[in-house]
Amino acid sequence: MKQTSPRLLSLGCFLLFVFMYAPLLVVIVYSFTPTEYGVSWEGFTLKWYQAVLENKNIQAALKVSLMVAIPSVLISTAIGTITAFTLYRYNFFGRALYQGILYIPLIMPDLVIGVSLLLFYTFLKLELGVFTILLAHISFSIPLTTLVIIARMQRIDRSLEDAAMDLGADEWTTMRKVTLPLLKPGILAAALLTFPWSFNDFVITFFVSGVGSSTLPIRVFSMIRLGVSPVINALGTLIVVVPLILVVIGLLLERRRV
Amino acid sequence: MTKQDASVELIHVVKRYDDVVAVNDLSLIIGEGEFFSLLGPSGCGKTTTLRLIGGLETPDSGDIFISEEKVNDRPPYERSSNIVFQNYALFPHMTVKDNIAFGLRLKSRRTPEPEVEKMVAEALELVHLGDFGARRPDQLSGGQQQRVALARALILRPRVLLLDEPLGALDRKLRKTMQIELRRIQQEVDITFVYVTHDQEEAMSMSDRVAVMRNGNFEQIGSPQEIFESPRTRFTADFMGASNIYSGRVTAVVGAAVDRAPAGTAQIDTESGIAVISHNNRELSSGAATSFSIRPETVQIFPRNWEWQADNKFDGKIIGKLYLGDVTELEVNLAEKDSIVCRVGSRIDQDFGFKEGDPVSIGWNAEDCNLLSD
Repeated sequence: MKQTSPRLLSLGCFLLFVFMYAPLLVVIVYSFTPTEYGVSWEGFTLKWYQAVLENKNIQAALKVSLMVAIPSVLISTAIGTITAFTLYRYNFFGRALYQGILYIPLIMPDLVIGVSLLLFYTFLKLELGVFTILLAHISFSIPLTTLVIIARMQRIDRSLEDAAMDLGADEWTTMRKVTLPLLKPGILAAALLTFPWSFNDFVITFFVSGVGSSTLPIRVFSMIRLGVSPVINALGTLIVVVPLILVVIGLLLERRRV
Repeated sequence: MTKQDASVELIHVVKRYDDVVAVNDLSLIIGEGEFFSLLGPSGCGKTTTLRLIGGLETPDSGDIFISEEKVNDRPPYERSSNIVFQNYALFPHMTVKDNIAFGLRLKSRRTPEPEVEKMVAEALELVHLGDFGARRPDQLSGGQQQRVALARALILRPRVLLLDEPLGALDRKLRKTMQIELRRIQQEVDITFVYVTHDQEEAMSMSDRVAVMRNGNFEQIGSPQEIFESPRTRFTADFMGASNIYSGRVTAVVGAAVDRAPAGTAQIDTESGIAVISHNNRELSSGAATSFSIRPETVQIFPRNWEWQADNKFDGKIIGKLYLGDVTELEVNLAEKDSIVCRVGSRIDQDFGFKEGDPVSIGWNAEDCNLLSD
């Protein structure tokens, strides 16, 4: 092998990242430029950020988004923990089937999930609104939280729980003092990964949100229909950067060793 | 052993995993304060037996008693036994001190904190880890982790301590040290130890009694000396390192066939066609098929022209030589198909200057033939 190939590879790698991140960079740059519809750089401003913060509609949408994202993260992480524990630890009739179908929603198109949830909630005569959005978000988050927590669980040495029981801890105490503390990084990672999932979701939320309860992505969508304003660039920058930080923290926590 | 001083008792214990019988109808009494080893190759059921006593497995049938109390249906946390796990199973999210104090601090024991402090300090002292309380398990070496695991189990003063190949992951030198340590600690705390290992030297150096296991059964139970010197079966002989095992048929019997000196002797013609004189402590009669083992260190070897005496003496050529440090193993052909391994001190080997191809005479006495059943 000649020494030139790593150089070629690193160039390719660089171009790939330009391809991936240049569009984002454009949005971020434009969010600081003062011209309304301009696509040229004409100095630095934070006024669009100020506009974002002062926009009542955006505030309301952000409130709805958080009202959905926070409980859905908490509930789906809790359910994910219990599901992971049950599927991994206990052998019962139908376990293989449950394990198999658990992850299907992860590869199912959002459109299909959205339509089916809409039909289902209508069938149940639920009023579309924050509550149905929350239900939808919990249901599509559970496969992810379970997946992340099972991955963590597989790395916990089973003999640690045996040891705890042998030393006198009953099942519940063992869970509380040994299993859960060791699962903690996985549980945190699951929560931090599902938060942006819930916060950013557009397609599924679009179907189940009904009238008057818009989450932030839906609000942005309706704003765009009136034309792309730098306000959206600023908002977009915030939406990209904040969850990105959360995801990075989540991944770091997950990779931390047992 | 009387039943009164039984520490652990197994009565017809059976454990199956699906179709595999891991433990097959085991009955055993382990005495109070005894150092008892379960010895066997992997998959022989020794760890399962240990886990059955500890309560991490429940028997399919049969009864288990600890200190005269039937514990079949007791979960591990209600048994007066503790386990030292093969991989130590130290809690990675706790310090050494919290690991050791884990059992004491549980609600079921409610040990007051000053008492916990005192007992942990004592336990650390017992395993020579006085200053390590504040460390985390991953900051300790394998040998130190091993000691923490031991302290964590011993601090609860169990009736029985169950050790599952605790020295398996340590290097040879550390293992030797820990063997002596374990024996010292066992005598100091005076608790019954049940020790699982696949290493026959380890079992012999520490145990009061050893049970050799095979396919979920006890092959032989006895003192280390009994098992080493008089293995009863081919499997035990082989497992204890008696590399010379022969099959044959009894062709003549002389004298009383009883197990006391002077015992009668039997002449056995081996399948490979040599005639061997063996002592006959099995009341074998003429025509019986049998097999026997000869420990390599009881086989004598001299140059061909040497003058010496033995009940069994054969001429042969050295066909293999293995230097093992303190001893050297020489393989000598006995007949066309058979050979015998003798082990001599390396110093003796060097004095004689044995080489491959040298003509030698080898021999052993009738009482060094150990009769086996299959």
